Amino acid sequence: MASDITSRRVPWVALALSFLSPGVGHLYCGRIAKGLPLYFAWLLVPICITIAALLPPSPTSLVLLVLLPVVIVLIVYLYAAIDAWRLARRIGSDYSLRDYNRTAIYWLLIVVQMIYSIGLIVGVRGFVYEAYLVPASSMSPTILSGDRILVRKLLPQRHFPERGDLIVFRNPTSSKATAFVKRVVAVAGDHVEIHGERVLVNGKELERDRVPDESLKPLGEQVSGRVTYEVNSGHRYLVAYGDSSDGGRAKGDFEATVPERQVFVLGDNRDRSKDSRDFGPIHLGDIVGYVEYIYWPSESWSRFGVANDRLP
Amino acid sequence: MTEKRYEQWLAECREVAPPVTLADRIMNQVTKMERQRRDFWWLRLLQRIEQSRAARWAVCGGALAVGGSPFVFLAHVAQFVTF
Repeated sequence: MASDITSRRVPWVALALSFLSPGVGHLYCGRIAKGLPLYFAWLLVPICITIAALLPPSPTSLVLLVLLPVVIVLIVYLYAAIDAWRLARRIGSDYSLRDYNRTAIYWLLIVVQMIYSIGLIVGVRGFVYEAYLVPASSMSPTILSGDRILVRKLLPQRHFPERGDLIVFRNPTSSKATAFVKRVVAVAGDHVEIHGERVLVNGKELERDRVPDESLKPLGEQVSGRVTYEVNSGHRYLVAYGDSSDGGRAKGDFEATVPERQVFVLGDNRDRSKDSRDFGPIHLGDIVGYVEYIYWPSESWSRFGVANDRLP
Repeated sequence: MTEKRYEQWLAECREVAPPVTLADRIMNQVTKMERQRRDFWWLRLLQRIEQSRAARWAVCGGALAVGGSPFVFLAHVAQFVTF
């Protein structure tokens, strides 16, 4: 409700309030109907990202529901600041104070928004998607060194990894890395044998296909050695062998049966990967999530999108 | 009729002499308000900031730094900024 007391609206105060929290500058200028949607704009990010996690992965979902909401919130933030400043300039000294024109209310709104916006980001990272920067080439050619990936954590209640899935799990070694990304090659109860470059799961050798040269172009200079397609339970993905750069070397033969509630993982760059051949199978409880998107590829942008190689 | 009553009311009002202390009371109130104004440190600060363009820029810059921190945190979570 407007009171009889008039007050001047100071443009730089409106700008500062809006910088602190979009929408509060509008409240300062008496535009509550416009201020509140701007104030709650941050909610767009978790809502859209959660919807993206519930939908089948696609580049459209990544762009429209994951990246675009963040850009929109940034634009809203800048727009709110400029608009509040212009509004205060236009109003000048001809302003009747409203009930909510109190310093305490402004500060309360600013603090609440700080907490809720950062809380939403923490919540999304903890329960929906977590982003990782991959610093090593052990998953090359699928994930190159420098790629930024999105790992989905929001999963159905009784979801178990399948052969061919890309997973991120807590580092089981004493090295500094917090997590590893690898490919599930065998699940609980499977018998895995590795003889040279041949991988056998339950006695059946995984199929190999030749890779057309043009498919390797987007991988740039980062791939060395022999690259082939490997097919495992409906997934077809690239694997590299013989990459002896940076101390990489072929590993000896290996044979194991995967225990209950564990999975056997391998890096796609087979001769430059520390994986279940070194530290054994991974317990399901150590899995952080499933790699779904490459949202910032280190090489060609043609690799932007879904890191899903399930065969149609 | 209404106009006549209004004229009458106006004439009555004009006849009433203001209390002799009215001017003093008003002046006291103004002085008190001015003193209250000076007592609010933040009001004095606000006035100083308003007088200086550099101070206004500094305040808005500080507000941008604080208010933009969720975006910096988001960039950190997205692995674009490390700290």
